[in-house]
Amino acid sequence: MKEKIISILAEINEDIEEYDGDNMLEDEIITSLDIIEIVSALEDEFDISIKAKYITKEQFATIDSICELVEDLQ
Amino acid sequence: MISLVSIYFLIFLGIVTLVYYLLRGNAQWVWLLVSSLGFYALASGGFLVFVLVEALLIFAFTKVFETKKSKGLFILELVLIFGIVVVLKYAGWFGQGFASLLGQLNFAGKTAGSSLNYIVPLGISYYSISGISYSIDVFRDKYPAENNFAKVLTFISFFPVLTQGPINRYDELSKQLFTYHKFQYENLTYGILRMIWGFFKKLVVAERLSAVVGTLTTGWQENLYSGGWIVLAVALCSLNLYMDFSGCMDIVLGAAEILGIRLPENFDHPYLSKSIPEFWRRWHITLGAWLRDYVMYSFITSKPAKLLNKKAKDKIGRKGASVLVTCIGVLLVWIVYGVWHGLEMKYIISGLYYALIIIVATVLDGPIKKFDSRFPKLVASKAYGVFCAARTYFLAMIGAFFFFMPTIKEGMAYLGNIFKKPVQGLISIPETGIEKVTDIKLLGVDLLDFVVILLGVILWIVLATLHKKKDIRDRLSDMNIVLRWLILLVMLLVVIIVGNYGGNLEAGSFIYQGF
Repeated sequence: MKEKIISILAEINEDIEEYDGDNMLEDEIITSLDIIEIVSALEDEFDISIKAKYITKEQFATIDSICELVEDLQ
Repeated sequence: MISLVSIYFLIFLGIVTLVYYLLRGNAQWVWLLVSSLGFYALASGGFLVFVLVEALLIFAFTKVFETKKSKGLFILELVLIFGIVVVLKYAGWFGQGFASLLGQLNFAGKTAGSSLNYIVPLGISYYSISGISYSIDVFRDKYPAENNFAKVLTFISFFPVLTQGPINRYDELSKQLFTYHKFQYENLTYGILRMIWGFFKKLVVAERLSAVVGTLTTGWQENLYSGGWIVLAVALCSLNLYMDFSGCMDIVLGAAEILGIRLPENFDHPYLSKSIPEFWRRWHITLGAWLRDYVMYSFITSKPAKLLNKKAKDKIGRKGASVLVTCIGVLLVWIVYGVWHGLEMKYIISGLYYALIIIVATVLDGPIKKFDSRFPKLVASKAYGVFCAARTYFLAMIGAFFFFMPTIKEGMAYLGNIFKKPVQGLISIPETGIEKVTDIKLLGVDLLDFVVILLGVILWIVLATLHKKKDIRDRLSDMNIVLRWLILLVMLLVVIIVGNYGGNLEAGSFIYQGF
């Protein structure tokens, strides 16, 4: 699943794959524009529903935290 | 009346701090609650009742949300809270009869600044949206509802932030509010230093700037000022707004720090921003974050937005669809931003002004990224950074200017004078025959005031540059004790001697106190 998520994220914003910091949202790697695409792509791919409460700096901090979110919602 | 820049506030804070550190355990936050209610009653009289009503509503609804997640009840809560805000804040729009009724009921207390002179309960926009954020978080199951009404009331009424923010989140502030704080010398000295810096910005610089800006922006009526002075007015409006609001935040954050409570920052060197979206992540940060988390994210994850995104994807592609949804979200956010400031058209237009700039940046996101990757050396150069910062400052400057004008139309007419009579001399009063500035007092201040403003701004730039690398207060504490106290004493004396007070050792109200 992680590989799939990485490829989805990289397709939306290639900076995400190269990011090695500890918070993509705080470091403004991910913008609102990206969030819409990420939410839409993850919902379609994994048949989940991502609500506003999940869009937090903790959930969107790293690729791993996004993977954890998808796992929790499945 | 007790305001943050009055001698009464310092006495009040001194008494609160003394008792606070004499108390142990829960008595500390109970004392904060009593002090906060007392502060608001002194500052705004009968309007205290609305703080209590809102806290009660928020407490009751959040308790219900624990067991019943009813969207209908949630909407009812929003209608009730925002209903109170709209009716009170915009009473002028509902007729003078209602306003005078409130006055007769002794709710007039202190009315915050407004060109329409309607009744505005102090801080209502700030404590209402802090309370709403708590309610939304509970509704979203971010954390459980608080069982103790007194704690909710303490969160909503915490006196340093009550009148002008920063806008707090319950999960972050409650951890500090309801914890026992042992007296720490560092909290006291760091807090006092921050407050002195805030008083410096407000009393030494912003009050003088206000006099100049006030004179220059009311001059339009008589077609008084020619090009050069109008350009100066536009440039100073933005600086005045920053010095006034950020100075207030320094006082607020310093006062809370004395009590051992770290509040969120509201400014992060906004004038170094290279784009307007970045500027709004660095200016009034807590309002921007509130709009992002509770308006933008709510919208983009809503069913209608997701449906629109899906349908648009087929027609304009994935990127185009997300640009479309983002633009609608941006528009929504900035309309809320405008309305939050007031129902006057200039605030709505001001919101739409920023919305337009951000929408253009969003639509051009793809080409901008292509440009950045095609010319990486240029984009990384210092000159390009300076160009971007100057461009952002210019756009923000225009936005701030309209805040000071009575209406958009008058602002446009005023700006038009830049081109109508740019070379008629700096000042032109046809009736008197004055064609040039011979008396600088025509600008509401004297030459010495201009020198003070200039020196104050230079000091601000130097300290802000140093602070960006390392906290100025850490630098001071590393210094020799004699030098440290000497600097502190000099700053204090500068504020006392050069500070521009009103008649009763009480400066004018803060600009953002009116919202």
